[in-house]
Amino acid sequence: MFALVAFLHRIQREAWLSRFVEGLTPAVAVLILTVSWKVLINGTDGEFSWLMVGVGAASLLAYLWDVPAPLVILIAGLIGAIAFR
Amino acid sequence: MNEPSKLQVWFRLFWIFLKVNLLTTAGPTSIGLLYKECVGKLMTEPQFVEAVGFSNLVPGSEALKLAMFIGYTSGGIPGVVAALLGATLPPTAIMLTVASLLVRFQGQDWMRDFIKGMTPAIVVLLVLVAWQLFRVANPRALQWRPLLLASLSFFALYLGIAPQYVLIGAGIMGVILYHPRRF
Repeated sequence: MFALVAFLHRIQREAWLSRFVEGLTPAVAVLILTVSWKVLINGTDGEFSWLMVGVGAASLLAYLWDVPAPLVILIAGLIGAIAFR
Repeated sequence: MNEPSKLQVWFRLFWIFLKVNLLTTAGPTSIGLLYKECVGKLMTEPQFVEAVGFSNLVPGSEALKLAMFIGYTSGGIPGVVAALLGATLPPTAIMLTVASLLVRFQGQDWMRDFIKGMTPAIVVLLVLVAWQLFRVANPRALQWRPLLLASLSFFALYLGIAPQYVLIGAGIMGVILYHPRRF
């Protein structure tokens, strides 16, 4: 990985590499979406609850209002620990 | 705005990876949090795409690969060391000092509920990051090339093709599709 990073930094200004990254961008976005789906299924054990939807919606609002992401995740966890008891 | 000093960048890298590795349970889930913490502060959006893309292409631990890539991009070799320390310190400390506590907590209901509560917040963050990256590929209106690449990547992943092959394929298609003389 270190060798790859060093090599990439050497060839960063090559035109083909920027096109490669341009092609990579939508694929990475889709990959992240599939990861989010897997996280949802594994993290909830396939269970659905309105509380989770509520935590998700509240988190969305918090992100949109630029509340720091670590804080949002921590508070969501605390809500889970209290509310799912 | 003043440029942060090298020392500040290294400390920031250490702190980011410490925070991210404490708050996320698996490599890929850290992508959302890393995006929020790094893009615009330590690196640009295309650099982040490179980091996620290329770290998926090589074997090894996701968290460590991202730490190395982001660390090197923003802080050179000392940046790699700082990021790796941040990424490895939490698990090492947990293994050495609180392993017994963790084992006790793991089976406990509140720990499971805590993770259950965190899950929707992590999922929403990941979706937002995916949307943000898709917007990078479509700055003004939806364009056919990113849409085509996204659709093909989705079908390839759906068919169970390994992510690294999907990413290599998308990159190669990008080299062809975005060639100025070709399209």
